[in-house]
Amino acid sequence: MIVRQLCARQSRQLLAVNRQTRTLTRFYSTETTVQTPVTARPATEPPRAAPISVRRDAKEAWKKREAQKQKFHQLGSEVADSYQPEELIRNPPKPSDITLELLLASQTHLGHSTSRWNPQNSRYIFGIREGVHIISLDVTAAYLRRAAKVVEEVAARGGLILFVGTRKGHKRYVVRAAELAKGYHIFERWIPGSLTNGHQILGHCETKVVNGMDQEIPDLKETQSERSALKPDLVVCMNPLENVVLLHECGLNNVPTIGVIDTDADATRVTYPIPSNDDSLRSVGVIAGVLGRAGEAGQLRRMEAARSGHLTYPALNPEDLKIEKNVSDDPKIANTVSEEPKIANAVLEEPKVASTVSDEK
Amino acid sequence: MASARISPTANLLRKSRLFALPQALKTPQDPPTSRHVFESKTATLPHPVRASIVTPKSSLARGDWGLKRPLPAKSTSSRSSRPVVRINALDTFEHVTDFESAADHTTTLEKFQELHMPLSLPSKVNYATSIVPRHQSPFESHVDNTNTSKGLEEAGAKQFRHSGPWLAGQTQAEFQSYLKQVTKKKPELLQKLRERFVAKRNAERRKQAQDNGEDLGALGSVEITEEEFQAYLKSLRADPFSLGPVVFELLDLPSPPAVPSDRIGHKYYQSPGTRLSSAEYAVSGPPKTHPSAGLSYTRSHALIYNHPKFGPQAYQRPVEARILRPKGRFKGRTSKAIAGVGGIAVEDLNAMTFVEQGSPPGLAYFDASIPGGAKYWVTPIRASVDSEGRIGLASYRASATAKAPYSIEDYKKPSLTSITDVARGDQRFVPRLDRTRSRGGQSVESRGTEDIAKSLMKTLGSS
Repeated sequence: MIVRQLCARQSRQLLAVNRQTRTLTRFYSTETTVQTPVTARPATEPPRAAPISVRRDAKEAWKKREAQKQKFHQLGSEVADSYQPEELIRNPPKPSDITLELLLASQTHLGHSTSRWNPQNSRYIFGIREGVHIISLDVTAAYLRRAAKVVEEVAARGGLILFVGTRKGHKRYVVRAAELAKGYHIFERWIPGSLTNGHQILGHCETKVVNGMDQEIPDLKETQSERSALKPDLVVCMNPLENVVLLHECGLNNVPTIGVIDTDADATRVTYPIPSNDDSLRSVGVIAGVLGRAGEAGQLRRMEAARSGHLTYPALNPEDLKIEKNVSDDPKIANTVSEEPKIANAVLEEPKVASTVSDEK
Repeated sequence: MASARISPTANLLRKSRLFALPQALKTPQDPPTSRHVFESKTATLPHPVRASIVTPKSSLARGDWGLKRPLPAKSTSSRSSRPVVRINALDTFEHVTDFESAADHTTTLEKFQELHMPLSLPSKVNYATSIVPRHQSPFESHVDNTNTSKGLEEAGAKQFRHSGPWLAGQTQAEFQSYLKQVTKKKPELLQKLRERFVAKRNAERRKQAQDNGEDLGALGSVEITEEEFQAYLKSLRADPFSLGPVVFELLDLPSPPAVPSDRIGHKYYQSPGTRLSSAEYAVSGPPKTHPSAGLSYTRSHALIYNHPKFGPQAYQRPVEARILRPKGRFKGRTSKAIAGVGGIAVEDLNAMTFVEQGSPPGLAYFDASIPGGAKYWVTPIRASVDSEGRIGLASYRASATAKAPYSIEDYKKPSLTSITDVARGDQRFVPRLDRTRSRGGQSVESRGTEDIAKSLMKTLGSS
């Protein structure tokens, strides 16, 4: 006890003794007091043995955390009917899914500035708000359903459907629609004269002869070499304003057209107008998706009929194809529902320009 | 019902979000002076005029804002991590959606909300005494009334909106057109006045009967002849003092500014006591929005800020303010310093006119040598929105006790006369300027002690 007290007392005194006064220090220090740094750092410590146990622990902890995450992930409320932009590509709406709400949500009602209007569109216009024409949603829905029916029937009769959307961002929607409808697509530029001067522009392109089940008959390929370029049976145009040439050529060649007509577009340019906003990618996506789905339904119908032995379109004559006897004896052709293969799905491909890409299956 | 009869399209469109966007407010007007007002056209408006729009991440990546056309990424998502835009026009003749970033006002709102300030009713801050008026929330039930609120029937209830216009703020043309409207309503107003007269006479009669000890139940209502009413009108016309209150109440006009003192001897149309919730509103006009302007919905500032180490604090964490204009002569007038607190310009309350000791550098005069510009720490104390929609913030210089727990300090200018600790000599350590600085202060210290221990062991071993 005494010792401890002594220590406590003495150490305090010692501390007091050791402390030098400021003035003294100043007088002492004739040279700068430099702390000698330890120059040679002790050689790097031997690398510790790999901490296997530590790593294993970390692994265990991570596994546990993952398991917990998975467990907690199932908890909570489920968000249903939320808008996923990618669903327009992955799972486009069917014609039966067209509702006014869907059209409203995809901005189809927003027309152009009132100073830009084409008075021919006055019957589609609901009113004016904030200097912009509002397109009537129910009119859009009715016209879109009609257009979907047209696409479906054309697809069911084995027609060639060409989807055109040449604005930035239209690409994926147009490609997806063509994929669903087993049609063709253009997303960069319509080469003027592809219809009116098709022999020159597309004459060297490949064509394909298929039977009723859409299987290619390569033996008949040679017979088609001098055949003129094929024309689409239906053109779906997403931006008629930029594709006036295409629509004009379609008019000259009696090709029916479907077009998205905004309030500044000329509705008489197309056969089946769909009054809608053509600037919003979402509205174009919905319209292309619906038409693609309609085409898909038509193709399904056609394939079903083919399987049950009906052709939904007039078959070609053997004289047209210049088929020799031995070819038609081919068991492959004999197996098909009709002996006369159909010429369809001609590839409107321009190999040098990437804009027109065929959708070959 | 009207809503059932409209077409489904109209019903949907009415409920749509785009149509629910409020109409743009009028931009704040220039002050009506003959002097030239120097203002930047690109400056942030004192209050937002259009609604701000955001969009979810997945749609933002596609540029989809629910508008006529996708907005370009270059001016939205690639410029900011949280883009907010306001729409000037959905579509123009040039096929362009006219929009601009709304980050100016949304960021100000965020910064304001970080101050944790409740909004008070505006009140004149008296600089002479530098006593800040008490906080009064605009959400208290006796002041949170419009001309149609039920709470107005209570005794002593105040309101922030009247149905009539504020005459003191009207131009001549506006006043003439208002006068025309009132003249059209003359028969209704006379009928109202008659009812008021009857009620007044009834009350007088009742009072008299009560004084005389008559049976109150047997009292019938007073019949008033046309002559009596005309005589009442005549008496009102003759006496502006009694006509004033009747006019203000009949037309539901907000009370005008106080009568100038040189008019007090003369006859004037007296106004009844103000019913406006703040006396400031009588001077500068009733507010255009709710007095809180939606900036904050908290009622009081009775919060306690807990510091994890030092416990509850009297003051909230001080906020750094940038000195926008030092005090001194400006355009020929001496004025107080102006500081920017969270995007809001604030007059420095504490600044005295004389030269003060220990004030933050850059406050008394412009100082270009301060790195990053002159700043100091303030504690906001009162916030309100005036009738023009400007935020008025009052703040004190943060006291030492407010700053201490957060170990923040005002910038101290290195003075030529002061001597650094190193030069003073009580530190027996010369900093090695050639050695690269390590990151944490603590690691330096620990290494230092380690080194010392090692060198000590070496010397002991060698001897």
